[in-house]
Formats: sequence, C-alpha cells, structure tokens
Amino acid sequence: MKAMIGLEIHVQMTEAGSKLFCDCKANYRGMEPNSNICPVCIGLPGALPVVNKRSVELALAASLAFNCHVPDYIVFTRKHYFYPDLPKNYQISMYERAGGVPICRGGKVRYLDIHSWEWKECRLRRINIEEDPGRTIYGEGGILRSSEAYVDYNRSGVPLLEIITEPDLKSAREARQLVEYVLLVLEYLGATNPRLEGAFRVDANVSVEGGERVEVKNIGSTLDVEKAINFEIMRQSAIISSGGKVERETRHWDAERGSTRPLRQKEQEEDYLYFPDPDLPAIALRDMLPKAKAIASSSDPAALFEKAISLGVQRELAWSMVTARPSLMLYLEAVERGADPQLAARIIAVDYKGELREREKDPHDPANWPSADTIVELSRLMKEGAYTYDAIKGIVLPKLAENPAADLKLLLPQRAENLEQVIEEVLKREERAVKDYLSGKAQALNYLVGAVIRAAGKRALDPRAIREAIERRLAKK
Amino acid sequence: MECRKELLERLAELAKIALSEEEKESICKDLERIAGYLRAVGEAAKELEAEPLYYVWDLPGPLREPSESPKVSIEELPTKVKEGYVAVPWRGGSVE
Amino acid sequence: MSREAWRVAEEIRAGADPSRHVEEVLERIERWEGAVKAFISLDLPEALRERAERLERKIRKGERVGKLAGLLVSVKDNICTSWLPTTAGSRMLEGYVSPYNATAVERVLQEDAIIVGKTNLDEFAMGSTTELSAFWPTRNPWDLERVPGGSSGGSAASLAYGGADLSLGSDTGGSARLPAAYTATVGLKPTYGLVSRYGLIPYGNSLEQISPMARSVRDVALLLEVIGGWDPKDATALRVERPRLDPSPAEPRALRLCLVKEMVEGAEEPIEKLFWNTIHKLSSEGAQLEELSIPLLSKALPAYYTIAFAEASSNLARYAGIFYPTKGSSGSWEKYVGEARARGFGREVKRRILMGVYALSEGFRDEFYVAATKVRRAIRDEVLKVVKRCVIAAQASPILPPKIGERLDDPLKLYYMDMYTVIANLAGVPALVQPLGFSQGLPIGIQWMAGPLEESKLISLGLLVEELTGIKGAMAE
Ligand SMILES: [Zn+2]
Repeated sequence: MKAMIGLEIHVQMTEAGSKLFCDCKANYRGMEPNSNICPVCIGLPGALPVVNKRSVELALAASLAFNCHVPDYIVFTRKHYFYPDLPKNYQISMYERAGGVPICRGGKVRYLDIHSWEWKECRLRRINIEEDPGRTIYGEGGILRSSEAYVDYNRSGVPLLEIITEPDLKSAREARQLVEYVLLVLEYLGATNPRLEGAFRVDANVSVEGGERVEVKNIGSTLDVEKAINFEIMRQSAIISSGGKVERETRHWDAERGSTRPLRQKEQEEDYLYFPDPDLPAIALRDMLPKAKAIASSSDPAALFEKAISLGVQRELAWSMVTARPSLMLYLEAVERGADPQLAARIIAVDYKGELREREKDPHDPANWPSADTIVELSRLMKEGAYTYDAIKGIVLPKLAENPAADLKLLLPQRAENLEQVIEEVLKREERAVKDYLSGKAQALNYLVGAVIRAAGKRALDPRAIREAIERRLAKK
Repeated sequence: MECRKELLERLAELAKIALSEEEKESICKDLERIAGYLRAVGEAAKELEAEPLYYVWDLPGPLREPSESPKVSIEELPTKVKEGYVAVPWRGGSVE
Repeated sequence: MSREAWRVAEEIRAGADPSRHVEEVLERIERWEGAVKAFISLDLPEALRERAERLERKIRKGERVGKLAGLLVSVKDNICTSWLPTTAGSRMLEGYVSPYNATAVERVLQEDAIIVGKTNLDEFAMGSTTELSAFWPTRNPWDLERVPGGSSGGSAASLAYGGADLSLGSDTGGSARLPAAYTATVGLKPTYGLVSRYGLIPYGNSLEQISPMARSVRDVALLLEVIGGWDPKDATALRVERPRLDPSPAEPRALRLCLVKEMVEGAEEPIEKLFWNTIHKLSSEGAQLEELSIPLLSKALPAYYTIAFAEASSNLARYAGIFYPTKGSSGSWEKYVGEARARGFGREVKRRILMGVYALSEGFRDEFYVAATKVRRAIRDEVLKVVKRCVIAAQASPILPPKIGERLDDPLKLYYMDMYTVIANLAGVPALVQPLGFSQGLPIGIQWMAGPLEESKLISLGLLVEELTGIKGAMAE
C-alpha cells in the first residue's frame, strides 16, 4: 500500500559548546547526574536566558544547507506543558504563529539514496531551535507504574534543532536515508556528533492510502526509523485491507519489542499557550550570515562527495569516505599533496578502514587515521614500483591501524634490492631445495621463502615479493 | 454575569491548580467579571490596525559569548535527591 | 535623622562612624517594625554591626569606599539574595534561599551599602496595597489603619519610618510609584531595560523594572546610578553605560509640561487640588503648559492587565512543588503538582494565573493577549510622541491611601488604583512619583513621565518640585 511519511527530527547540537541559554556544557555525557546545572537551565526564579551565539550560527548554517527561507530575525516562543523534566514547565522553543519566528520556513533536503545512487528531495516545513528537557528515568514498573520518577537536569537546556519535513517520503528506507543524510550534514557543519548516545530522536508521521495519519514517537536510531515505519505501514495496511479504519492517534515505538503501541489518549487537544518569550528579544541574523554561509558551503558532504567522484573514485568508495568525515578529509588532503587519487581511495576507503573495523577502532575519530603525509608516501612508493599494493596492504596497513602515528620507515618491508644478496646466499646454501623446485616440486618454493625470511632476521618482509624474486632468479637458470 | 464552569475547569487543568469546589464558585464569578473588563482590548485592537508589540523597544537582543558562570548544587535546593537524581512523585498514588 | 542618604554616605566617606548610623536605623526599626511589619526578614543586628565595622576598617585603611558607604538598604522580597530568604511574599517560596544574588543586589553591595532586610509585598508583586502578602499586611507609617500601597509596600513603609535609607523595589504597573505616593517617599520606575532584571522574580517581564526608592529625589538618583546600566545576564537590558545624574534642579522657564486629560482627571478632590496647585505654581515660575488628550489611554488598564496576567501565568508555571518549599501530598505527579500549586498560591495569584491562561489559550489568544499587545503598541507610540516635546505631569493615584481591608472585596476595584501608573510600563518610559503634600495627614504624590533614558529630566524636575513644596526626606513620627 502507498505510504506517506513525514518526520520530525530532533538533533542536539552537541558541539555547540554551551547550552542554549547559559554557560553549562552542551555535551553532558559522562557527568554525574545534576552536575551540569545553573540557575538559568533549572529555571530558578529570577534567572534569565541569554541566547548562545554559537547555537544560532550553527542553526543558521543548517538552515542555509537545507535551502531554507531564512528570516531577518528569529523570535523564541514559550511552549507550556507540565512535566518533571521541564524545570520551568515551559520549553523555550519556536512557533510559526502567535508572534514566533522560526529560523527556517520552507526548505528542502537533497539526499542520496545509496541503493539507486539517485539524489532525492524532501521538502522541509520548518526548523526550530529549542531547549532540550532534562532526562527522566523511572523506577520499578517503568513509566506506567513506577511510584517515583528520577530526573537528571544535565541535559536541560541543551540546544536542539527540530527539523520538520513535509510528508514527501514514500518508504521506510527513504525515511532512514533522509535521517542519515540530515545527520551527516549536521555533523559536517560541526553542529552535532550523531553517534553520541541520545544525540537525536525522531518522530514519524505515517499514513497509508485510505487511512488517517498516525504519529510514532520515540525513535532513537536510524535503523529504528526504518523498522518503526515499516512496522507501522504493515500494521495500518493490515487494518485497511481487512476493512478497518485507521484513526488519527499517537503511538510509541518500543525498540525492544520492535513494535508500536498506543499512547494514552488525551481527552482534549493540547494547548501549549504559545507566546513570544518576553525575556528574549528578537535575534537579528544579518550579522551572522557571512559566517554561517562560509560554514555551510565549506562543509557540504554532497559537494565533497562530487569532488571525490571527479577525482575518478568509484561512488561506493567515495560514499564510504563521506560517511566517515576524518577519512574524507584525510583523502582530500592527501590527494592535494600529491597522492594518487585511486590508490589513496583504495587504502583509505577499503583496506585501512577494514583494519580499523577489525580492531573495533572508531573510523570517526581523527586520531585513528594516519597523517596525509603517510598516505602520500605510501602512494609514492607504490607508484614507483618499490612495493606492490598487496605488500602495503598486508604488512603496513595492519601495523599503521595499530598505531596511526608510527614512523612509516619502521613499518615498511625490506626492499627487494637489499634482499637480492640474502636470496643469493640462501639459494647457494639450499642446493637440494633448489633442485627439487627446478624438478617441479612446488612446495620447495615455500621452504625457500621461509629460509629467506629466517635469514633476513626479524625485519618486516613481504613473502609474496620474496616468492616472486626467487621465481625470477631461478627462471634465469 | 453567568459563569461557565467547564471553561474554568479547563483553565485550571491547563494551569495545574487543584481548586476546591468552594473556590471554583467564587473564582468563576471573578473570572467572568475580569474577562468582561479585559474584553475591551479586543474591541479597541480591531479599530487600531497596529502590529503587536512584544518587546517595548523593538530592538534586537544580544547574543551570549562563551563564558563561565556559577553552577548550582542540587543539594542546596529544597528538593528530594536520590543518588544525585531529583526524585519526584510519579505514579505513587499514596500520600508521602 | 532627616538627613538625605547621599549626605550620610558622604559623611561616612569623610570619616563619620558607620556604626553610629546603623544604631540610628536599628532604633527606628525597634520602635516601628512591630506595628508596621514592613520586613519579611531582617538581618541580625550583629550582622549589620559587623558590616559597619568592616566598612570602618576599610575607610581607616584608605581603601576605595563605595558611593553607598554605610547606607542601609532594604530590598523587596522578590529580588534574590543569597544569604536571606527570598519569598516573593508567597507561601510557595516560604524559606526559599536563592543560590545567587540579583545583579542589582551585587551592585549595591559593591558600593558598600548594608542590606538591612527583605521587605513585604503583595504575593509575587500582584497587588496594589501589600495586603495580598501571604504573610501579613504592611501598615502605612503615616496612618497605621491604612495600606502603604503596593506591591512594594514594605519597601515604602521601611523608608517612611526610617528603617532604611534606600530601598530596591520593583515596578510592573506602578508597584514602586503607588507606594511612594501613599508614604510621602520617592519612587522611580526606570526606562525599561536600564536596570537589569537578573534576579528579580518575574511577574510581568515585559513591563517591569527593579526600581530605586528613597525619601528624596537625589537619593533615588544616587541609587539609580548604582543599579543602572547594561548587564550581560539580561537580554532585555539596554546597552547603555551606568547613568550619571546631575543633581541640580530644573530651570522652570525651560520646562514644558504636558497635561494629558486621561492621566490628570478622575482623582479624588484633595488630590486634584494639590496637583493643580503645584502645576500652577510651576506655570507661574515660567513653565509652559500644554493640555491634550489621548483617548486610547482609556484602554491602558485592560491592556496592561491582560499582558501582565498572560506573562504571569507563564512565569509562575515553574512553581510545581519540585524545587520550592511548598509541596503537594499525593504520590501521583499530576495531583501532586495541582495540590502544591493550590496550597502555595493565594486567591489573587490563582485568579491572575487562570486569567492569563485564558488570555493565551487557543481561540482566545487573539481577542485578549494579541489584542492587548496591539493596543500597547498604539499607546507606546502616542506616549513617545508626547514625551518628545514635554514631560508629562500626571496623577499618581486616583485615591488617598485606603484603609486596610477596604479594597479587598472586588478585584476590579484594586486594579483601578493603577490607572495612572500602568501607562509608563506599557510605554517603557521612566516615571517618577514624589510627594506634594498631605491631606488630613495622608500623603499625596505626583507623577512625572519623560522620554526613554531621560531619567535626568525627571530628577532635575523632581529637585525643583522639592524646592517648591519643601517636602524632602519626610519621615513619620
Ligand atoms: Zn545552565
């Protein structure tokens, strides 16, 4: 059945430095509960919010990156509802009516469908900047039965982008790809680290032909975006094909069970009593535009992807690098400094990345990648024929992945010309094995390779190169 | 003036104030009277064609530059703290 | 003891013993406080003496001594102090100690003032008589059967009997000026944004200012010089230097006074009489008079109350029994919050919150809140036009100080008391109330309004009027 999907993506600007309206930290991970709080972010009487400049710059850069209509100034609104994790019992957010002015109205995201390698478009309705509430955990019985709730306000006031799309998405996979792409853009802008626990949450509005729109809340990963929407499309389709009616409702995604369940229905429509926050005069954007434009244009993953393609890199490899920002940055720098575009791409996107994966090292951490100079040098050595790709891959990359800062000279296998003498000596000594080999006993060659490696001592050696050298030498006989 | 009790109950629900029956009676009447008085602004605004004024000087506000300001210790506040978390009644039902 | 505060500070700076002055004030408190009940909390006499001794040592050492050296300042109990409770006159905050000081408090302390205690007010500053304090009504030192006005009634009363030299009040719709009129003291509502609101427990954020109060115009100017000027913690604070106010009286012939019909008419007879006497005196000294009418001002009171209620309903949402002393008893969140708020708030506060929610709710927002903000713009524009060419001369109160209990039966009767004062709050302009004289022993005041940041005009006019009336530094005996 045909589905229509719209998303609300809440992304924390984890890299904004401070919270939206105070000086507490935007990234609260690893802190003791309630140790990242001040009078402003727990809403003590008399404390006043002042907008953090970096948050607005980043939100503005995001709005530009998503081709939004950006207003001259933005106005924060108060959104009222009572909840333990909301210390003021209103959230400072944005609203397009009642005097509020969101940072983006009407934009579009061009995102890559990596199954068809097509660029697709999804319209944005608006982007709001708002403060995150605190984090609530529940005791025994969970949210439904726990007698007490326990709140950590470290998260309270962290800047959030609320990105609201039009219902332009047609499948769960498209929805997932859109979310992944949006997160990628925000990561490139330096607004967020989407891999941090709780850095984003998604609500999905899903409807199938002939049914009402159902909102699914609390989706916490891109994989779950796909799962939850697929579940919902199937659920709704089944109702409709059996002649039932899909009513408008809000459901909760239960990631553990892999299903959605209805949330308690409110008897009345919510009324958030929106009005412009009188503590926060409008913020003019004009002075911030040049900087935001510079951030947006220098950090566009699509443009960087195209750049890699234009260097002759296969799109799969190019995309693989785009999805791990440090690897793409390393690649572009290495190529700029003279590395061969193909060889560099193969090292970075395939084999080195594979070594990191094997070691469970994070490819998103720049410290896990070697310097551009190392890549340039490896490329030069292969280009000059000093080493085969396999030699580098088999011997250098595993050690480099172990220690990306290691001195390349110590990792390189002994060069072939220095080995000539050792091979000569071994062949002289191992007369019998040579004879066996020449008479057609293939395993004798393995023995000779081993003997050369032993004779050469502990130096890093490429067995395949030795094998080739012995073959070449004996063929002359 | 007639008092609309459903309206008062809706407002009390939005404002999260548990009103006693006796309070409801008197506040309902007061609200009707006050609302009747304040209604004059609706009439006046219709004739004005003025834009709303939310910030009296219509000036853009400042932005915060990164700085350090004093933190609050949760222990200083008159709130129940359990292992660092603020404990609030949730579905307890019974009297604490 | 009828010396002006600025003179006392100068004497102390020149070597007079600050401890003697502390004893003088303590004697007044000893004599009056039991009957008047101006303070919710008083610092211990030993603590005040200790502060005075510390100041004396500082003076002896020749260190820099502040402008308020040795002056005793009372602070309205909706302004946060970190060593004395801040209750806002509400059960909700009974015993609450703020973890930080308001900016105005910090500045007063930096200038070597001694804070004597926290003064009574109508709960959350919602009232015009100080009878709506959750603790007790404050009595007017000039007539103990009568109210001192509100909501800064405790501050005004403390000045009127000599329990403080200066006071920090707040003025949302006349809360500093009405009490000044009722107690023969001086109250100045500064230009919106001249004084930081950081640490002022909000009632109507877009309307209110912390306001200096004293027994003379020059003393009010002195206090404004200390607390005025930009504060990065308040986004609505204007980017202006600390004000410098010239203490010389205005030249009558250079004066242009505007008499706006709606702000002059409608007061009780003795008030009208004294008002016109003063105006005619100024006129005969050479001041030019202009009479005009702004019919829209008849809507000022409903516009003011609509905005104030809406903002109040939002500001007071945070009091939910979690961070503040008054708790609920139920174990279920929703009920608990409802109970805490039912217990903690008084009748008038509940009315105003409910009315504010009404004014902001879907379906009513446009006809109440938004309409009021439109009326506000029109009123502001009219007032700004007038104050460009003259200082507005206006009544301060339509009535003489009422008897305790007289105005409590009907909320609208209470609201009418603010009819002349709310205009300056709607328009954001500064306004000064000073005493003109007495009728049957009851003080009568007059109000002056000037253009934005023209506090100096109000001060020099006020000094001239003091010369004319001879009323300066009056204290009840
Ligand atoms: Zn904070």
